[in-house]
Amino acid sequence: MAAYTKEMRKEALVLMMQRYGDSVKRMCCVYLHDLPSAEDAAQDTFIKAYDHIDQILSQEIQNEKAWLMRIAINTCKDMLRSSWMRRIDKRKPIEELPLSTSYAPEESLALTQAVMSLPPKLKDIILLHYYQDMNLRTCAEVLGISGATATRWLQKAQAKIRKELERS
Amino acid sequence: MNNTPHDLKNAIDESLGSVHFNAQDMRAVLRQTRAKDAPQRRRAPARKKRLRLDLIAAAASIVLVVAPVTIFALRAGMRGTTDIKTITAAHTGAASLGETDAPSVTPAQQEDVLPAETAAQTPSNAPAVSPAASMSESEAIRIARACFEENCDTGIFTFEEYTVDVQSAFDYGADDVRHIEVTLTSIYDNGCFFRVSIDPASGRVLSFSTPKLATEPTRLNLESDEVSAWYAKNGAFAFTWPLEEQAEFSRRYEGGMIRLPREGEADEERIANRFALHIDELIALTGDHVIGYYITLYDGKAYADGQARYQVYCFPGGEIEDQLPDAYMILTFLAGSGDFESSQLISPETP
Repeated sequence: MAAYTKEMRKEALVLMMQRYGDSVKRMCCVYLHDLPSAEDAAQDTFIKAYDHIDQILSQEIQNEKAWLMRIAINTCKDMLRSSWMRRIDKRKPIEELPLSTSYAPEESLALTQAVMSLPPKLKDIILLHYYQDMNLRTCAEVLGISGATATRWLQKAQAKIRKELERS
Repeated sequence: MNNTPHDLKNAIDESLGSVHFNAQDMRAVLRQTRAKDAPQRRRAPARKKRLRLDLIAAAASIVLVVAPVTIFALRAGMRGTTDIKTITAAHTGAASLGETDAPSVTPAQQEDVLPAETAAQTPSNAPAVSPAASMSESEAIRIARACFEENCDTGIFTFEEYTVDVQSAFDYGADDVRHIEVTLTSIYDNGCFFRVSIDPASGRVLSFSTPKLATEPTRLNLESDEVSAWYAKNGAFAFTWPLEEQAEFSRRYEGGMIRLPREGEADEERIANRFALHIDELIALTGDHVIGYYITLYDGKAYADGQARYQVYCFPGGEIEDQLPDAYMILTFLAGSGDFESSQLISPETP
């Protein structure tokens, strides 16, 4: 593998943060329901990505976005799995998140809230497919499941969101 | 679901529109990656915070103290400054000003004259304006004190918590005093000072330094006898100190970021009771039947929304001694209502 200078690695990392930073952080926010945790998770995602930045530079990793999202999802899951977090729930409903949501239409908030309330695996598929614009095959690859399972999860997630929206 | 992918993407972007991976996040990532590239160093989490504060304090000291003093010295040099006398109000009783039994480290004793005593020597009904060109020191101090008490927050530091230095500035080659400078310097070696320039003929205050510099500490000298004495008395970790000690220390060296509860706010006992509601979870979680906890109350000035909050530091295994455990928890409660707000895990992985 070619040797890359520190500057080249840093440049690649900055480019990646500029390109995907917002969507990674928002996805983490939907996942963790907590802005400070989402900040931690998003930063952690890029720190982990930096460990493999040479593979990005050498284009060994083909789908950079899918790869990064997998890291983000796993980072969020690790955080939720941490023993402290399992016991002490710091997740907040969207209206309590410190965001300037006053300009957001009510429907958007309801839809985001419905996604946030999904169980993790259904949330994964929805976020990857709808928010990160990935096709089902890529989603399946990222999540390490079969295409059929991905389809089933997506249908289940859609049904749950519909139900949640009707309820609200 | 009738919503299209586009709807959902828009909904999340609209709802979380203010969430950006901002420059601060990028800096945090780059800092971590730099640390990864650098040779491995031992982590020292408890010290790390202090180091940061020191660096900030040092930078602030340069901007707020060194630069003005240098400019002042240069100006004074050009005009030819004559030192009249330095009056030091090094109060051995300073510790009694706080409510706590603070470590009694006494600043160097010189020819001690308490400003209070000086003021007492000056009749309170003395004319504010000294007609004579040669204003007495006590008169200059009295005027400076009045200026201090009118412009600075005496709820943080009182006049008695400063040493007083009086100097007279002359125009180059002239005999007449141009103005008298009275400088108050905090006895806590925290970088706080207040300087008043007085016209000796009229007794009028010509100018005074920015009031917040008198009450917002810019320096925490961990090596100083006074600060070392606090740590020697109470332990290496400030959050483990009794709340009164934390508050007094913070008032002296940190601008009162930590304080005692005020009327209408939940007190320490109530927070301890609220915390007890979480203790079963913590015990189940750690498998340890002893949870050590320490309570700290942060003033509203520590938070963007201005709301004071209690932070409860929780440690499995009971009270901490010399070292912090690898992982611990901080629970946050609102001081106003006493309600639980959030929890945060601090671990070696925490940036």
